[in-house]
Amino acid sequence: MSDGRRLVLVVGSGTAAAMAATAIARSLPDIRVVRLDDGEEDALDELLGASRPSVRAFHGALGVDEAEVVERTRASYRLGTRVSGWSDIPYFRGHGMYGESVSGVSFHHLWLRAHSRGTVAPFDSFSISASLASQSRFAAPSSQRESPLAGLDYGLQLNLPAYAQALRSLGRAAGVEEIHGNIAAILQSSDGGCIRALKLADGRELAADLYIDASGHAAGVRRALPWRWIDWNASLPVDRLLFSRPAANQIPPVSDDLVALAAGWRYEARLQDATVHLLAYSSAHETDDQARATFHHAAGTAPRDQPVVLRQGRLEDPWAGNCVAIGSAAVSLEPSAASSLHAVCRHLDRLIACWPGHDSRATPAEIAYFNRRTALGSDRLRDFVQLPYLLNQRPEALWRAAAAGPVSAELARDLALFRERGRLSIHDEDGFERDEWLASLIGLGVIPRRIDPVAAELPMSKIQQRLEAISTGLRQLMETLQ
Amino acid sequence: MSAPAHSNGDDVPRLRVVVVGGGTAGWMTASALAHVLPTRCSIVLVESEAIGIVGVGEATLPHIRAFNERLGIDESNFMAATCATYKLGIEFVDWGRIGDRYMHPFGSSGRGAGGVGFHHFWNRACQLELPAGQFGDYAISVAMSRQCRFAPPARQGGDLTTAYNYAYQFDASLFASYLRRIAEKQGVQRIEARIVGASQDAVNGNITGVKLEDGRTIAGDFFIDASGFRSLLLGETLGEPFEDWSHWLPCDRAVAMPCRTEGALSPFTSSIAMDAGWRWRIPLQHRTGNGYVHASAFIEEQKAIDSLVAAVEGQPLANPRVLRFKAGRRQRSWVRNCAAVGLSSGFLEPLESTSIYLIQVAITALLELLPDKEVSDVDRDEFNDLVAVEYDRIRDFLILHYHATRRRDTPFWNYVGTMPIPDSLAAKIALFRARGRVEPYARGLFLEPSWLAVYLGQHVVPRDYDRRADGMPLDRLDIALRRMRVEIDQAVEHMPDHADYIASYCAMAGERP
Repeated sequence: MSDGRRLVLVVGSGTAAAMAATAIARSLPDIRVVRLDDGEEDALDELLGASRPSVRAFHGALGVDEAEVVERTRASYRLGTRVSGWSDIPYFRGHGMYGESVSGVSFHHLWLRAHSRGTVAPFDSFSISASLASQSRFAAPSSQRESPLAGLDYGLQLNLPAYAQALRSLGRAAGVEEIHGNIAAILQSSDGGCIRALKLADGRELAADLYIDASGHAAGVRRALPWRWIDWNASLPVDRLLFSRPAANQIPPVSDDLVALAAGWRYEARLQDATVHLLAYSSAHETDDQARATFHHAAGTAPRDQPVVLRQGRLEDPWAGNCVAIGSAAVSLEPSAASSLHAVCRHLDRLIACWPGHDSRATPAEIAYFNRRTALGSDRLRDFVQLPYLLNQRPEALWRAAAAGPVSAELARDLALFRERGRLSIHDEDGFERDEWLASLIGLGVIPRRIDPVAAELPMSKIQQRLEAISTGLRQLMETLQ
Repeated sequence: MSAPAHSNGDDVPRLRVVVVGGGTAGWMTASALAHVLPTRCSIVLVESEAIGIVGVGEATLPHIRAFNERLGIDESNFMAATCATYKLGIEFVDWGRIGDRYMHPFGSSGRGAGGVGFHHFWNRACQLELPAGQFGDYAISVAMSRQCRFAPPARQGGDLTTAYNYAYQFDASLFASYLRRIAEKQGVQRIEARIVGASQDAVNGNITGVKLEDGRTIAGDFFIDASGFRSLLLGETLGEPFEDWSHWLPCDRAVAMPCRTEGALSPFTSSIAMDAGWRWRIPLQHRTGNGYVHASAFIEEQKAIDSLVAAVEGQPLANPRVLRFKAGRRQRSWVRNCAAVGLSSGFLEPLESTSIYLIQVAITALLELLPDKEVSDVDRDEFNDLVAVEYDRIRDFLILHYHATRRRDTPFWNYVGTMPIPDSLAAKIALFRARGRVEPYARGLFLEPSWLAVYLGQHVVPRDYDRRADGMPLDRLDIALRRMRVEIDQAVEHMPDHADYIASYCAMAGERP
């Protein structure tokens, strides 16, 4: 099947594979892209379409019109997640800005200073996305600097089957070829370090220059090469998921809900015209039957099917030889922070930038770069997902154990630094915005012992004025939107 | 011991800060602390005029502008007072090979497309033998430098003709005096005295005061060691070990000698490779600073002095002065209740004008991490981390200049061109050579445009480029490259001459000597 062009074989039948094949075909000239569809969708990957602002960057790089995607696939705009049950007070983890800095001092220091003096409105109430979400509204970001909407950012709540279909048709238009069939065997090179070909059940053999495993958690192709999985179960105890069929939706959709329960959490994702309920729990703390009852009680409907088993962790080297695992084949995390589509976008962006050149082979330096940066990004996602587990204030056994769970050295340092003086470290490949970290830390009840000395120099009256100006701006904006 | 009082920003007792040393580092620190945290600390600075300062005419990086802005310093006033000129980058002469000349500009080159950096397109054009010229031909600051023109960039920057930044070249001793005036106005108390030692708490080893020659002791809660190479508190009193990098950066001496400026006033610093090191040329309003940074293992001092005297362009304005140093840094910059700022924390040769930048890094971190009376380990560790990462990044970038050379014409160049390099740098170079990728980092100095300038200026050219660059048809690529060069030429054509701009905006008082 050679016509002189380099051939890439993308394996997978779900959204990640559609994104990969289409992105490669649209970004790189003179590459032949074949997608092998084995008809085996990853149940978990295809369940929730919550995405972060990174999906919009993905669309931008591909030249895909966002409004058209939203319209055609009945997606909706997503401003963030309302998080409750972890600490005393629910909080909103939104995209975009929480208040503007003053004289080079980050807004949260101003808020913390006011907080130490007594009453101040919740941190959330200074966020444009939280304000919009509290009234189930959406407005496009503004390019006018004075408008509160200038600080807005958002992701998309994608309707995955329709989205994947739309991407597949874009891919076909860009030359992606599709083959349907089941893999019977993976043939390796003599040294075992590369894939020579995929043998299909019908006897065909597919050989490619590069194999992209976008098949989800199974990672059947990448698994044929040396495989080292780093398990995160000790830090992130949730290992089972139950979910509902999409049900008709009453609430206009701009945010989703994450609620802690005795042995896990539940999540409500709202699409334009449907809601999906999900329950995540730790099998060590709740039996499947108990979980079904919990689900029924919380969602008002029975879960469909058996629980899905989740193994959280990451692959040490997603790129090995001529095979690259992307998305949940490379990093598997519970869906509490919309990290799964985010990972797909970041992996593809990095892979395309490192794409093997005219002499066909990627150099060890580039493969090491891809793996190193992907690992950094994955670990940072994990740290963010772990934050509510570490800082929860619940009494149940699961939560007490989670609060004492193992922590990465980076997160331990970050927490110590924030607790001491409200400072956030800067990290490479941080998938979350600073304000999301702040909203989470403050929302989970961490109040630093001391504040920034520079913030302490600002007169209290100036800080109060600033806080009031932000509140007034947001209030006026909400009134005009009505 | 009881826990420190909860500090919410109000009613905290003033921290008594003692700054040891009054050079650039000392006065920058004192003025910044006094200006930004006026109610938080009371500051005493101890300096001795007998000691003198190392500053020999300083070339800076654009970050200095943020420092000045934060202190409310008026640019034209400051430039006039320090005899400053503008700086658009650094010119490197004879580095990759004898006869080479390239610039490391403060700004980016060219205009990329579709999320793909310009250098990939440029590399492709070179491989296809299009008349693409040099990489620097696509940086407006390079064109401005070549023609000795200057105009500040438009506020709405970012495009080809506005994607540049600038710094200053100034007289560091005048800068220190300028900041001293600001600091003293803000209440900093200056004590003129020679320091003979420090007293320490017998239990926890904290510094309790510095002892002066006249028998007085200046007590404090927190100490800033700005004593220069001597590292009086951090090195001598606290004994923090020095990490020696001289096997990678063997230059350990500099001979400095100012001279009259001949010819046009360049808006850039030059770094000219010499037999056993390199020579700086920093044009100020009233003179040009020169210095030969060299490795004593490869050249005798007198020979280095003679080479410098022979090389300078105009009449010498002072006798040659020799400075001694060693590349490396203290393992930690903040130990107990003492933070080192400037040369007392480490030294990297001024090849990329990073000395004042490193001072600034320490000050910015101090402003945000200034302790209460009791130092928290968390603050100290964060400070040390921030400073160390900056030193380490700059170190690698400097070593690249020596490593990426084809020169083998003297023992010095033969040594640096073949010496082993840090693994961290080797990995960066391997990644770049493959496909022109510069690994981004969130912390630390020197971003992609800087690495590109030095790599490409010293013949480290990637074998391949980002495959997406193939998406542009050849004729369009050719037109795009031509258009960029024309746009730059046209924009620079309307800019004033550097010397004229300075004369009308910020001329120093008096006449040029």
